Amino acid sequence: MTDSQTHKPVTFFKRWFFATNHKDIGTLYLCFSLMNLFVGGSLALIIRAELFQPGLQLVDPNLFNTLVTMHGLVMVFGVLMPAAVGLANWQIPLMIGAPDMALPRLNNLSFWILPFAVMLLGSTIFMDGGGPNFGWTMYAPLSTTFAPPSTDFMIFSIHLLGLSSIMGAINIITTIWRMRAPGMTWMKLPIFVWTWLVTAFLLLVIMPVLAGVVTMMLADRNFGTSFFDAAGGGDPVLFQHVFWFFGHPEVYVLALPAFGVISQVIPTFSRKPLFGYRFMVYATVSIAFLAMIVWAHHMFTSGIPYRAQQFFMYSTMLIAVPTGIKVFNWLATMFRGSLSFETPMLFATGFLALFTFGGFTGVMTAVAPADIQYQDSYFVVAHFHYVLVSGVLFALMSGVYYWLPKWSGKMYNERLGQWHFWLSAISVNILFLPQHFLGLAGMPRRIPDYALQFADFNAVSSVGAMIFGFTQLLLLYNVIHTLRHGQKATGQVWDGAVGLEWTLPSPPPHHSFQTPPRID
Amino acid sequence: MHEVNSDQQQTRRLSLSLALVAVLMFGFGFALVPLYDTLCRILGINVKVEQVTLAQINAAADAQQVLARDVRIELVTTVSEQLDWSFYPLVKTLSATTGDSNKVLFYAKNNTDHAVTVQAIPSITPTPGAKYLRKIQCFCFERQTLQPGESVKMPVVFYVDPALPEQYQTLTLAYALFVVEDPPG
Amino acid sequence: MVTGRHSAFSALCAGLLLMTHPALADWQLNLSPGVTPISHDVYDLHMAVIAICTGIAVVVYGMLAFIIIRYRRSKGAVAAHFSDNNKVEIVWTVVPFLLLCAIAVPATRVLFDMDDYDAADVTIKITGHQWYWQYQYLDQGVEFYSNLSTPPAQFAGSAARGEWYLLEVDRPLVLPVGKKVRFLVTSNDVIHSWWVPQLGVKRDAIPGFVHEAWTRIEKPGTYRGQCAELCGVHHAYMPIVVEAVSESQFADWIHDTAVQARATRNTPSDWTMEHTLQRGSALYAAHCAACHKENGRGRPPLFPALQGSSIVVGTEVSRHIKLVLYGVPGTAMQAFAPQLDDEELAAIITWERNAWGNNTGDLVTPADVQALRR
Repeated sequence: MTDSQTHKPVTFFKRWFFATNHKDIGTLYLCFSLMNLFVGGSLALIIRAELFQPGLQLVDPNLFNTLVTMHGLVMVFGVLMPAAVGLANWQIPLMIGAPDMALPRLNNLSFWILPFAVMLLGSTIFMDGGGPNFGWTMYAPLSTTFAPPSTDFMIFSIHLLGLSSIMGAINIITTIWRMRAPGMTWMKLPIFVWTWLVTAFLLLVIMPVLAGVVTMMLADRNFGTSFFDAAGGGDPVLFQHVFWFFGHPEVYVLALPAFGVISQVIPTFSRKPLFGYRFMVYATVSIAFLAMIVWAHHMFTSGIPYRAQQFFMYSTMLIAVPTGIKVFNWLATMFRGSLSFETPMLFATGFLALFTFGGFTGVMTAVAPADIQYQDSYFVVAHFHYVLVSGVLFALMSGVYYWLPKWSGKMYNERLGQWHFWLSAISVNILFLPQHFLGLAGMPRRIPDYALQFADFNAVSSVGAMIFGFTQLLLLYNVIHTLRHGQKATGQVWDGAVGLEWTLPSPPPHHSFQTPPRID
Repeated sequence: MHEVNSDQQQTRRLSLSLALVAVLMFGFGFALVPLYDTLCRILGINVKVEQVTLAQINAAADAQQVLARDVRIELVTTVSEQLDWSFYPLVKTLSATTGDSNKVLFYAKNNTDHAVTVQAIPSITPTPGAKYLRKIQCFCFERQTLQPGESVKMPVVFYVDPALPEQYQTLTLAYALFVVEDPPG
Repeated sequence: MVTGRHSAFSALCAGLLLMTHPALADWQLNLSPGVTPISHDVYDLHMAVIAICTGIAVVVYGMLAFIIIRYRRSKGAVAAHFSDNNKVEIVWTVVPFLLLCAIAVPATRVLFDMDDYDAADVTIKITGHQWYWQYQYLDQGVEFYSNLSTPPAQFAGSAARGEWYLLEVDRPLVLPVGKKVRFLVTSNDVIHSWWVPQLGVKRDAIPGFVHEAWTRIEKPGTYRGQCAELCGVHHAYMPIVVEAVSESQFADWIHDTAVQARATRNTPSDWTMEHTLQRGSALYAAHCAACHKENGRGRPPLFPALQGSSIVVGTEVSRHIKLVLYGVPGTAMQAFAPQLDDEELAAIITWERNAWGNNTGDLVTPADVQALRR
């Protein structure tokens, strides 16, 4: 590796800590995400181990609440978001024919804030009074008046995580807006780039609101304000409104890049262009707009007026329409194609089936009167894990298998990839399907111990968790093995792949596109 | 570099505009607070001070030929467990005719051995009916301080707006008492 | 070969076929229809949405399966070239929209049915506390606290777990069948949520605000629920038990309960150290051990140790008694004055002052406690 200007060799330290190349920064994000997958996953395994049987065997209730909180924060902010940004960093310049991202040094800062922020978050467990124990949703006043002292550090950590996302979003929008190759009009933009463009705008709009709400928490805790304290004229439900104003669009921030990956992978392995490109773009934009007006569906039981419940029920149900359009378009892409099921396509097809299943339970929870029975139960836990794990995470893995040969110049081990997929796909259902039944039977969420009637499905779920968790080691092994011993990959890699990135050698040269290609 | 100077300027301008959007959205997050208050006021939730007089309300009701009717008012109190005060309404329910002024008294006693200042927070249910229960005078408008052992009967003067929709036959007025100043005793 | 997507679909079918709804059975798959008009409506709505989703799933998964089998490259499929068709896009935009409307209509009706303000026959004020519920029958003058009654020894498994482990309380909420019951829900500290699945009622308890809910129970029986909003350490340990009884049984129960006053009593003649310690130990286990632990060591700094504590072994017994009576503001130490009577408090405090090697030799009497009540 040589310095881009002087072309002298750079040290390991300089290359990675002062990285400005989008490919290196993409690699940093992806490695960071993978590491956190095992951290967040281990937390989940402890949780599921405790829940394997009724009774308290492994952890005390306060530690359990802390584990549940950390699991959520790490998975959302430490795994899913950085992985998506990692894919964005690697792929966007390659796909639009640019040499790099628009703001390379900002890019470096955006990444290096993250390890610091996550370590700060993790360190709160060891502080006096323990770590945050109020769920990743942090409802006040449990998270303000009644929270441990470390909460202020958690708030600082969230500010940093948010700042990283905002800077990344600015970088991505600027890159896509200003650095497309000549001739690449908006309607020729690769669909993955479209989904990231929309996601970046969402991030820009919602992350500052998260920063605002945790600042209000900080003020209530330390500066005598009463945003969320009834005694001072405030309202705990205000917290929920502001948090979910961020929180709901946030789940679409997680989902849209995943949709973008699937929209790249399925056409390649169907050897057929993406069906309905225009409608896919319109659907993506509609989802983003609708995402901003559904937030109170998380609050149906909190006492909001029935008229408000009615509005949010309708807007939430409406989001199923553009999402459905996407599912049908993916199916239509595969229809009358010429399909092969290498690992990326396995994960993409798994996503198609399982994310759709999560979508069905989403429609169920949108129905406000029925949500009385689902809200804060394991039914909701099952719903969001189906869309986030067998949905978003599977899509990200599909993207990693898909593009790893391009990034590294080496083919991953296909057989190992197949094992990874099948074990994951089967165990993820053993893990989360029973949780629907638990919720319908009346089991609340965020409890370390439960009534005997819930024992059977909890045991099944925990077994699924262990299998799923350990199966992910196959991914780690495959990645490492590929980088060290993988067979050399061509530039084209996949015979059905279409796009600028496939016109470059594998791995791509240092400056990606030295001269911008012409698009006709 | 691959960009010409004006290209660089345009890029910089775009990034700064985007950064400005982020800053404005941070402000928007805080603006949600007064926005929420405004919406609550419009909906009549947690109203602090009335703007309209009884005479105006009755005039409007007469103009629309809305008949007076009786509404059941329930009075409920909540005292934080750690606060050693007695706090209850002298009557628990009353029948209020819409358009008429009513006065009710709440008994409060400081059972501790030091002066305590409290704030009463009102809450009216059902929510859509809340804005029709209008308080002209209420001890919840200000903080109240009682000396150790002191007791007091605090008034609330209110009326029910005749425009209250037919389906609401009962309105519950609840007060929660919170400590504002309680030096450790 | 069982695939991920096929197992999900067939499990869904199995679920529909194997629907059972006995209350809280093991392996329970489906929502219970419950015992109130609203819970029935919610159940019907739930099943209707499942039916529509299943219909869509059959189409989508059926197509997917067909495509995967029929268009494999390995079987010689050659890719077509089409990549758009506006007509079909309109179809799969409009048809799902219409299906959603089909769901929205009954959903709206049930929502409006919930929005009911007809006069209630019984009004109960429900207050969530960390970590128990308080019930006040506003018109009948009855009020009490409802605590989890599962002995702590069952948590770690040193005692066998009963059938209603974690779903049993010392004093259930007794309600009349066939009458409209109105709930006024609030909280003393953080947000809790009062949920009884078979009644179809879930309402968040927000500190400082009162929100209402209502129900009309059709069948006598025992209906259990749990707190449904994370509220701190013992969120899992504050269940709800509703006993629905006939109107006349309800009237009798009200009469018996309302007569109970937190009267002062003379010290009973059997108020010996031995007897008091026995009683105090059991009461301590039920009301204090959750935080201060069976061994009195607590979990500092959140839950101070009582073993060797300066307040517990100190000579000023009244200080200890007042702390238990009125709690410590700003902490999780609640005031026990309202929910325990003088005998119970005297027994607990005596136990604390003599257990774990504290050995003060103090025998606190009910009169001692009564003297310090306001």
